[in-house]
Amino acid sequence: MDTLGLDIPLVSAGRYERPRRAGQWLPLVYGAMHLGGEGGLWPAVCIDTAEHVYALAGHALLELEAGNQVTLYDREGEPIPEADYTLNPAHDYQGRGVIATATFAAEAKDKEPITVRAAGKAGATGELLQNPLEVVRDILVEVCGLAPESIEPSAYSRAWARAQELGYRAAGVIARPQPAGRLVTAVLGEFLGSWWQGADGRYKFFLDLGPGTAGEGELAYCFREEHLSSVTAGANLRDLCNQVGARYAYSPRLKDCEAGPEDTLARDPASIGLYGLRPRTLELKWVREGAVARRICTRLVDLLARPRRVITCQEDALAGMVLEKGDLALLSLSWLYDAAGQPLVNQIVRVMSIEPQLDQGLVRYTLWDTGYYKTLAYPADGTWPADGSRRAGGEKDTREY
Amino acid sequence: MLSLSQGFHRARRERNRRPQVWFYLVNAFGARVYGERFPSDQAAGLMAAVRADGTWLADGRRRAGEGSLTLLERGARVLSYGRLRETLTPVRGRLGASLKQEEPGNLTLTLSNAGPKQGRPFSRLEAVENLLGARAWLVVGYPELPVREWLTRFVGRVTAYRLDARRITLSLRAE
Repeated sequence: MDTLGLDIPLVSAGRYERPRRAGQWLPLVYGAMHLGGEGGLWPAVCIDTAEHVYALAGHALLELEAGNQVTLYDREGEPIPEADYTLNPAHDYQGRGVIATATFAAEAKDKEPITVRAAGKAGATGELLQNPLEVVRDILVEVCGLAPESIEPSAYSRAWARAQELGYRAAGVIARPQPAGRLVTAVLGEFLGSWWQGADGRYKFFLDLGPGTAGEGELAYCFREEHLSSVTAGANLRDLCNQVGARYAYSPRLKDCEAGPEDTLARDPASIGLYGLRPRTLELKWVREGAVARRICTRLVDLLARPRRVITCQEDALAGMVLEKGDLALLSLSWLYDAAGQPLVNQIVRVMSIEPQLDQGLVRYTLWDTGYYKTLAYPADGTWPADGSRRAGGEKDTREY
Repeated sequence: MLSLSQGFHRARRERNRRPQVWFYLVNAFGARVYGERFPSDQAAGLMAAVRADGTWLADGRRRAGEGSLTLLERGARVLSYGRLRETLTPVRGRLGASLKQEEPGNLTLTLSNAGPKQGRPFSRLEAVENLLGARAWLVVGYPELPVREWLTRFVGRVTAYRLDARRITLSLRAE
């Protein structure tokens, strides 16, 4: 079933007995939605007009003891005194599933729309879900009901670790149903990540390729020059960017970002000198912290301040049939050079597309030059003298595979 | 209409004469000039320079070599000048709309990448220098005319390229 093409199932206020408006959706809230910007961020939904109960989210929120700072705002944008209501971040209201609620002591209709600012959903360990990979996994598995084994575990773990290492934290609100696949693309795209469905039907996640992120085992194939024909390399100026700023801290209430882009600006002066100014402004609806937005801008400039080659080629054998979109492979070409002016040897490329032509026994590939090459590491175990003839790590592997 | 010198105008009216066309490529590293034939000293900017040939007085008002180009390479590498497209007609859409929209000239040019296996000029340029964003001129002229009277027919930047072992195709956009 095309689960990711279907809308994310949100709970509506109509499933409770006395809602103000039955058609209102209870939002899904992820990440540190108490940070950034000002005022309330999303509307609370009145689910019981008699008892003055408002749903803050369609699931439990992070426990108050775990540091969740929940603030409610009235229609004027003023904070509502905490004495006016009782918070319950995990409330099985009317026995219809756990949600987060605020119960007012008296009628609060004159305060509507009441808006909320709070940290979002917690994971199984009780900690806030904010790694973008955790958020995506929660949406797919816990909300959309995708089987956990549908997610390819090694790609997921690698991307998760990369997001942790880079300090990526996602925060956002899903206020209305939308196709899950589109949302996953939007969330990962903001963190320079992508996803696809592999040939085995499992979903694979990928975050940008940086030094040291690809292990030996991930190099799925080695393209040999003698088997390749019609090889061309190309690049386009429009893909290049050397100055990136981001607008962030999106407010669903205002439908606009409340911060940036000046404080997030990342530039590569050398690239600007060579290629001219190629500016880009991102709109990060799933980022609330300036530090995270700056990191994304810096990563994007690191990745795109220099032209990245796209290589198209044809292999006159079906040996590369094992490859699938997104895989990493090695490529050596004697007529194409690296940044040091040396022929391309064991350059790491990512498979962007693959077109097997089975009747002709050949495969056409589109490969993206990552700019990195396979390295050799010499362990400091006494085998090699420290005479400067070898580098402990990062030395180019020029062996033929 | 482009302005021409009288000399250029006279030369182009002569029958059976084709002007020479040179392609100048300038990036942060320097200038290169290419043609279908090997560019002359004049095309390479060497003749236009102030030479110590008795024409000039050594009175300090001019410097020897002034006006010359510092070339990284010149060669007969142009395989095809392609087609220069400058039009008011949009590629798609209505003519009326074209009068309101930007339709910059563009040119696709093919150059030879021939050379020793590990010394192909455009493979090296593409890897080591800035090929994207490099400025380009297409200059048309006649050998007997001074370079200053040659016609600059196109000025643009390299916006994309496609490279293989034998040739490179540059996509240029006017600016």
